[in-house]
Amino acid sequence: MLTLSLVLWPMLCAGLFLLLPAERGKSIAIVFSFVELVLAFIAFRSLNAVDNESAGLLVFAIPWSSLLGSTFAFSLDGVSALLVLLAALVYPLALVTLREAQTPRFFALFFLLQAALVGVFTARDGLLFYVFWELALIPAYFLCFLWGSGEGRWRTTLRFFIYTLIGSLAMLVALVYIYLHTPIPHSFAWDVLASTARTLPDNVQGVLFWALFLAFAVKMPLVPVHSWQPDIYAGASTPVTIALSALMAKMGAFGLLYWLLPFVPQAFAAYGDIATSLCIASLLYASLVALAQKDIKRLIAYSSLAHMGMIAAGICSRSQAGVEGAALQMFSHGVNVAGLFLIAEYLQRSTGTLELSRMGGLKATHRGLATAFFIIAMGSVALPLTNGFVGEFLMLAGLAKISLWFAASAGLAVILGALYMLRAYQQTMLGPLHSPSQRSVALTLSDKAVFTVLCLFVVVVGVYPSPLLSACSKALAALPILP
Amino acid sequence: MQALSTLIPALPLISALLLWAGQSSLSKGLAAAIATLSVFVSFTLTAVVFFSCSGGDLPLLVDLGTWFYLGSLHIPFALQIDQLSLVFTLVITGVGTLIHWYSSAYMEDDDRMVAYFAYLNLFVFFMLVLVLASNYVLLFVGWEGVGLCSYLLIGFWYTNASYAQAAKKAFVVNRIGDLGFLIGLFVLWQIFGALDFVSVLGRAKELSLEHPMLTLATFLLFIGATGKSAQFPLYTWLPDAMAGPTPVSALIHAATMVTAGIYLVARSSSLYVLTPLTLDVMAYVGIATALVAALIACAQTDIKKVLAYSTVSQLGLMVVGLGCAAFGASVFHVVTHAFFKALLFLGAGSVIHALHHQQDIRHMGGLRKHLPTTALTFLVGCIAIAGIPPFAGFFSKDEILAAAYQRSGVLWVLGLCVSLLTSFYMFRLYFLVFAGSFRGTKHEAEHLHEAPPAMALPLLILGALSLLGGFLGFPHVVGETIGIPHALGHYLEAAVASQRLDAFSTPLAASSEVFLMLVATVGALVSCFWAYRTYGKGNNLPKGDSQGIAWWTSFARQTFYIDEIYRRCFTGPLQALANISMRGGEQGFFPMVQKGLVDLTVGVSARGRLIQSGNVGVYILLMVLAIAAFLLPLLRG
Repeated sequence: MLTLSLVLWPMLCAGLFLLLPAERGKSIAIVFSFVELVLAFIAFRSLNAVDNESAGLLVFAIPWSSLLGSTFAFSLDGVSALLVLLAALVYPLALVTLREAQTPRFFALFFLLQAALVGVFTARDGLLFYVFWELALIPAYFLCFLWGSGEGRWRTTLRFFIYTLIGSLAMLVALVYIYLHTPIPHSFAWDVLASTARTLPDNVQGVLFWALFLAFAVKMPLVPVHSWQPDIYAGASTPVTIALSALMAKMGAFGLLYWLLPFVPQAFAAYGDIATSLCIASLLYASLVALAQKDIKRLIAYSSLAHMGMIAAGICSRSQAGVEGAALQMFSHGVNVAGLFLIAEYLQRSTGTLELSRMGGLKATHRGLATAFFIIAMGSVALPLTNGFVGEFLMLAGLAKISLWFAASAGLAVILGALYMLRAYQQTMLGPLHSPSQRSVALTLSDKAVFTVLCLFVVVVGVYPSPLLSACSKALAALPILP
Repeated sequence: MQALSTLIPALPLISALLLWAGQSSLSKGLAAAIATLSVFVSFTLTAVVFFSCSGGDLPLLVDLGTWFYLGSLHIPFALQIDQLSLVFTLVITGVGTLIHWYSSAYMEDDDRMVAYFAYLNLFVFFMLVLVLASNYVLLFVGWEGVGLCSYLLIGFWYTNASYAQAAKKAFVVNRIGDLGFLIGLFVLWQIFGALDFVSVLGRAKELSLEHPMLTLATFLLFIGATGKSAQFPLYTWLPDAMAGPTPVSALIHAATMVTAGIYLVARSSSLYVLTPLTLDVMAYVGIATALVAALIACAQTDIKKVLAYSTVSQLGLMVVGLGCAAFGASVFHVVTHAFFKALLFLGAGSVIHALHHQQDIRHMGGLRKHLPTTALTFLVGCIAIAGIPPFAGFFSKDEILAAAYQRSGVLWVLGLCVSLLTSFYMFRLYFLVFAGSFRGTKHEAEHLHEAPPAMALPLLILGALSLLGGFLGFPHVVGETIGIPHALGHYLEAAVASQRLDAFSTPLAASSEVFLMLVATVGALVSCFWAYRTYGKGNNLPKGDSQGIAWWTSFARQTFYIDEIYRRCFTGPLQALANISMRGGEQGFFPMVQKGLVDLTVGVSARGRLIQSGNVGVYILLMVLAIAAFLLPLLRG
C-alpha cells in the first residue's frame, strides 16, 4: 500500500492543482512535495526495519487486465526505495528555490512527472513499466516546451521527444516479444518476463539486449544517442532541468539494472564488454567536450552525461562492486547534479549571464554560494569522504575486475572531471571580481537551507554510506544478475 | 590507549570545523590559539603513545567502525599505530605546531586568518589520516584530502588569478598520480583479496620474487608517489605551489605532504623488496629528478623557487634511497629534511615579511645586519641541507649515498653531484640574501625589521633540531666507535623492510664508509667555498646574474623549458582535442547524422507522397501491376 501511495500521491497532487486557484501555488506545492518526502522516508525505513512483515506494505498487486496477463504490481526494494527517496528529496529542493511565480498547470505537470518517475522505479509489471515510462515523457515534453527558454526550443523539445520515442519503441517491441514467449496464459509480470527471456536462444537474446540497451541509452543518455540532452538541460527552467538530470536520467540506468541485466544474462556475457566500452567511450567523450564548454549550464550537462556513462559502465561490469557502486552513485549523482544546476541558476540570477568568461571573483561577494559550489563540486569529482567517492570507487573496482584497461580509461575521466569542475569553479568564483551586473542577489534563508541540505548529503553520504549501500546490496543480491 | 590514539587526528579536525564554523565570529588571536593548541595537544598525545608503547604493543589497531564494503571486503575506518606511523606523526604534529605558531604572527594582517587556520588544521587532520590509516583505502582518503587542503591553501589568496591557476594545477597533476595509486590498489585487491596493511604485507611473503602482478601494483603505487612527492615527470606542480602563503609552503610543500609518497613506499616496503624492477625504476627516476631540480635551483632568482626546487631535489634523493631498498634511510631523511627545510622556508618567510612580499633575491642582500636571528638560523639550515657534519642533513644524506654506492657506482656519483650542487645553490642563496649590502629600494630598507618572537622562536627551535636531529641515526662506523647505535634505524626495523630480496648485500666496509663520508664532506665544503667566491664577496651581483646571463643559466632559469614542453605536448593538445570534439562531434558529426536521418525521412515521404496523386488512371495502373506481380510467381509454379 505504501508503495502505491508513493505513486498515487503526486498524481493526486497533479489533479488537485488543476482545481486550485493560481496564487500560492508555490507554497502548496512545497507542502505536497514534503508529504511525498515523508512517505518515501517511511518506506525507506520500513525497508530496513522489518524484513518479512513489512513486505506486505511494500508490495502491491491487483489484477489489471486478465486478458493481457498484466497486473498493477508495485514493489519497493533497496534500489527503488533509494531512487524514490531521491525523487522525493529533489522535488522540495527544486520547488523551494523557485523564484518566479508559476501557473497551476506547471505544478500539475511537475507532479505528474514525479508520479511517472516513481511509477517507473516501482512497477514490477512489463506493461505497467512501459506505461509509466511513456507517461513521464508527456509532462517532461510540455514542461520543456512551455516553460523553457531559447529560440529554437520547439525544435530541441521535438528532438528530445523523437529520440526518447524511438528508444521506447525498441523497448516495447522487446517486451512484447518476450511476453509472447511466456507460458500460456501469457503474463507481463517482471519475474515471468525475466525467467522467460533467460530461456530464449542466444541470438534472440542478443537482439533483445541491443533493443533494450538502445531504449535505456537514450534515456540516460549515452553517446551517440545523447544529442537531445545538452540543449534540453540548458534550455529548460531550472526545476525541470533538475528533475530531468537528477531523476529522469536515472530511469535509463534503473532500466539497465532491472529490465536488462536479469533478462538476458547470456547476451550480457557476450556483449557486456562491448557495452562497457561504449559506456566508457561515452564517459570520455563527454568529459572532453565538457572541457570545451563556455556556458556553465552546458558544462554541467556534459558532466552529467559523463557521470551517467560511468554509472552505465559500472552496471555493465556485472560485478558485485560495480553494480552496487552504480546504484549508490545514481543517488549521489542525483543530489550533486541538482546542486550544480541550482548553483548555475543562482549565478545567473546575480550576474545575469551563464557564460563562464563573463564571471569571476564572485567568492568575494557570494561566500555562501562559493562554499556550496565547492563542496558539491568536490562531491562531483569524487573526493574521498564525499558522496561521489564510494560509488565511483566501487564502480572502478568492478571495472578493474574485468580489465585494468577499463578501470584505467574510466579513471582518466576522474582527472578530466577535476579539470573541468575546478575550471568552472575558478572561472566563476576566483580571480579578480568581474561580472556584467552586480546585483549581488543575497541567498534567502530558505535558499541557504537548501544548499545546507545538499552539502550535508554530500558529506554525510560520503562518510556514512552504509545504510544506503547495504539497502542496495541486499536488493541487488536478490536480483538474478550476478554470475 | 585506543581512545588516546583516536584523539591524535580528531583534535585538529574538531578545531578545523570549529574555526570554519566561526569564521565570522572568532577573533584572530583566539583562532590562532585554538589551532596551534589542537596540534600541540596531538603532538603531546603522540609523544605519550610513543613512549608508553614498546615494540611488543605495536602495531596498535583502532577500529572506528565500518565505512563500506568492497564486494565482501570490509573497509573500516581504522587506525594502525606502529613505529613508522609514529615517526611520521611526531614530525607532522611537531613541525606542524611550530608552523601554526609561526603563522599566528605571519598571517596577522590577513582578513581571512581564521579560514587560513581552519584549512591548515584540516590539512594536519588529513595528513594524520594518511599516516595512521590501517588500510590502503583510508590512506587514499588522507592522500586526496591533503591534496584538497593543498589546493585550498595554494589558492588562499584567491583574487589573484595566477594563484588560483597554480592551485588547480597542483590538484590536477596530483590526480594523475592518484589514478595510478587507485589502479595499483585494485591490483593489490585482486592479488591479496584484502586491502589492510596487516593482511597485504603479511601475505606478501608467500609470493614469489618478481611476481608480475605485484610488480605492476608496486609500479602503479609509485606513480601515485611521483605525483604527491613531486618526482619526474609529475613534479611541475610543486614550484608553482609556492603561490601559497610561506608557512604553507613550509608545512605542506616541504615538511609533510610531499613526503607522503615516501611514506607510501616505506609502508609497502615488504612488497617493494619483492619487485626489484620497480626498485630500479625508482632509483633512476629519483636520481634524475634530484639532478634536474638541483640544476634548476642553481639559476632561480625567487627565494621560494630556489627552496621549492631544492625540495624536489631532496625528495629525489629520498626516492633514490627507496630505490636502493634503504627505506629506513629515506625515512630518516624525511625527518631531518622536515626540520631544515621547514626552517629554511620559515626563514624565507621572515625575509619576505620584512621586505613586504619582495621575493627576488637580486633585490636583497646584506640582511644579516637587520635580521640577525633569521640569518643565523637560515645559515644553520643551509649547512644542514648542504650535508656538512655534524648538522642533521649530513647523516641522513650520507646514509642514502652509502646505499646508492652499494647499489651502483653511477648512482653514487650522480648522488654526489646532487649533493655538491645542493651545497652550491644553498650558499648562493644565503650569500645573495644575507651577505653584502642591501640592493632593494630605499623604502624597503627603512622598513626592514627582525621577525617578531612568535616567528623567531619556531626558527630557533627548528635551528636546534637541524643541528641535532642527525644524532637520531649515527652512521654505522661512527656508531660502533662511540657505542651509540642508529636509534631511528633500530626503531623502524619492525615496521619497514630493510633490504632487497634479490641480492645479498654485504655491509659496507668501515674504510669505504669513512671514505664516502670524507668525499661528500670535502665536496660540500669546496662548493660552499665556490659559492662564497662568486656571491659572497663584494656588494654587487655577479655579472652572470645581473646582465647578459650565460645561455645555460638562462636555460636553467627557464626550468629547461619543461613547463613549456608540457604545455605544448599535453595541456595544449588536450584542450585542442576538447575543442575538436566540441566542434567536430557536437556541432559537426552528430547534428549532421541527425539531419541526414531527418532528410532521409522527409525525402522518402515526399517521394512516396507523389504516388497519392489523385489520378485514377495511375491508381489503376499501379493496381494492375501489383496484381500481376503477385500472380506471376503462381503462373510460373
